[in-house]
Amino acid sequence: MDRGRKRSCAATADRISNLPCNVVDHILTNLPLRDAVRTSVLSSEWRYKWVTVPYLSFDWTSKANLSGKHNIESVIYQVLILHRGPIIKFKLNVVDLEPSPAIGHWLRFLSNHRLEELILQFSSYLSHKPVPNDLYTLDHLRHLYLVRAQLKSPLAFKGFSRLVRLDLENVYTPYGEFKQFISKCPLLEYLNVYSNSLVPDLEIDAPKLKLFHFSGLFISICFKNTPVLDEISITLNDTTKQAAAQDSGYKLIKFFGPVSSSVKRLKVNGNFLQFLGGAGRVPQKLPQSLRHLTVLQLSDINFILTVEVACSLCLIRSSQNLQILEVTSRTTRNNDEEAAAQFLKAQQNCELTFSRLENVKINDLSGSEPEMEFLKLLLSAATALMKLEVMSKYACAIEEESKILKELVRFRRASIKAEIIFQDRAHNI
Amino acid sequence: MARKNRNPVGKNVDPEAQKKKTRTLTLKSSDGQEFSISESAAVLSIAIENMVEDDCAGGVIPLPLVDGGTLARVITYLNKHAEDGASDEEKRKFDEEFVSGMEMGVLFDVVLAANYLDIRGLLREVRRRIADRMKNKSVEWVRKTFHIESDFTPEEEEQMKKEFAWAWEGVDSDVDD
Repeated sequence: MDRGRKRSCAATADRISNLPCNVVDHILTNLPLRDAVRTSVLSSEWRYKWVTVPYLSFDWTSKANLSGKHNIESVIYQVLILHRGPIIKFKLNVVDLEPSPAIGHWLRFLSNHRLEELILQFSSYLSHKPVPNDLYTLDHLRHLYLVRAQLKSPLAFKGFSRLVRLDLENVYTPYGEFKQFISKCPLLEYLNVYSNSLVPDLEIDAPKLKLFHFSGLFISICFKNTPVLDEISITLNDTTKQAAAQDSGYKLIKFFGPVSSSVKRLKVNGNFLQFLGGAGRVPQKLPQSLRHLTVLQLSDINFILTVEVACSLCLIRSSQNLQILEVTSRTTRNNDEEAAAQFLKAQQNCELTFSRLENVKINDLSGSEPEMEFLKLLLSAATALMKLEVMSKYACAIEEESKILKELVRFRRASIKAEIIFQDRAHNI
Repeated sequence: MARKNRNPVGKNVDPEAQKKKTRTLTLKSSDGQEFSISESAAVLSIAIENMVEDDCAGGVIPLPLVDGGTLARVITYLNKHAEDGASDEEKRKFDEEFVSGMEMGVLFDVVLAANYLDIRGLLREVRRRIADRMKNKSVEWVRKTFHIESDFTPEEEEQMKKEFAWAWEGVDSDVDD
């Protein structure tokens, strides 16, 4: 390949200083800010090269990175004052950072620079102070990532008309704020919410939303206007915060109704299914089928609880095009296995077929009766099944595993092509 | 300023795309070496695509700013990225290996060529690699590695270091990786 390659005659020439400006700019942009700033002493030519980098990232998460003798506020003021040209991305992740008036000044400054991406990671766990109102003046924002703060938009907030992606991590929203805020971001496509504190009302009106991931606690949840939402993931951390459900089964229908024709990938956990199923009868099928759903993940399913099993089955039945199913069990064996097992046995008579389901994976199987009945049902109804992977629970005894395996191979399989892969965990300890 | 926003090549639809795969172009380096390359690979360079479109090519495309050795490297990159069936993961891995073995001088040759030929992906990769090499290095290391001559007096330098003292915290020892 290298035939006749000229020896680089300029092996000792200063080549980096002679690179085209745009290349140098990008190299500096790829450097952490302090490395970029240090280039200012290389030579007089380099003195002001760093001041045009469009990404400013103040990422000092441990004291080791920035010793106490430097005042972080004055460092940031210094950088902002010297900076020239557009600032596209601004990240602030500094140890012990709390919302403060200085942050308000910076945000105001950034708003004049048409900032597109803002990452603000506060560190106070105790007081979720509101972000200064200057945040709401950043009307060129396309991506906002907020950690540990309070979102409380002023009445005059017109919305983030260009916001495409919103990530909220442990952000406190007073009642009504979440709904209000989201409805003022008409272009929002990606919404991730992770929260230890309660998000009171998850009402989502976002006509362009494609992806919604939630993990945390809420009192109520609903999709109002989400015609193109194709990926939903909901992990409810606890079931005690929600009002006791009297409208059993109804919540399930109400929740999936608005997204039934758009959702393609769905992940829900057992707690959330409990919340949706309530205390009473769960419908066999949703009135509006999830016709585009191809991937379903059910995590932390407690097979002892009939409501979780019934909701799981309802979702599988309502998804005639489902191809991939992954279930993670969170079942601890006890004496109450009977009810859920009976429920599943009764389903055998319902003439089920899952005609598109090809891949099934069951993790953390404990070998309880309802889990085995569930597998039996799947194998007897999945006519196109190619692969069933089963992984037993960590610390499952060898005798237990061999019992599961013996039972598993006896089940009738509707698909002659189905391959069963059993991964044992007991022997790896 | 209007930003140029062409379709990334390879996304074109059918008969034309098929033709591009079979049609070959000849690229001529500054030192007179000639390389054959499929049109579909060559037009991953926006500059070459423009030359082909304007039909000023006439079979051989002269690239007076790129020497043969560098052009050979660039062509390896283009061929990989035009390859049918190469997954994104495969390409990512290729990119990483492609730049990781390069000496600094070669990185500069390639970054200049990628800039001139307007090959976005390659440009991004090489810039990142150069920056990675500079990360956490002392000013002295950067000067030595890049042959940058300082025109500051020691006093001036000291003054500037004081002004940005925070930027000098936690600089690693200069182990080249």
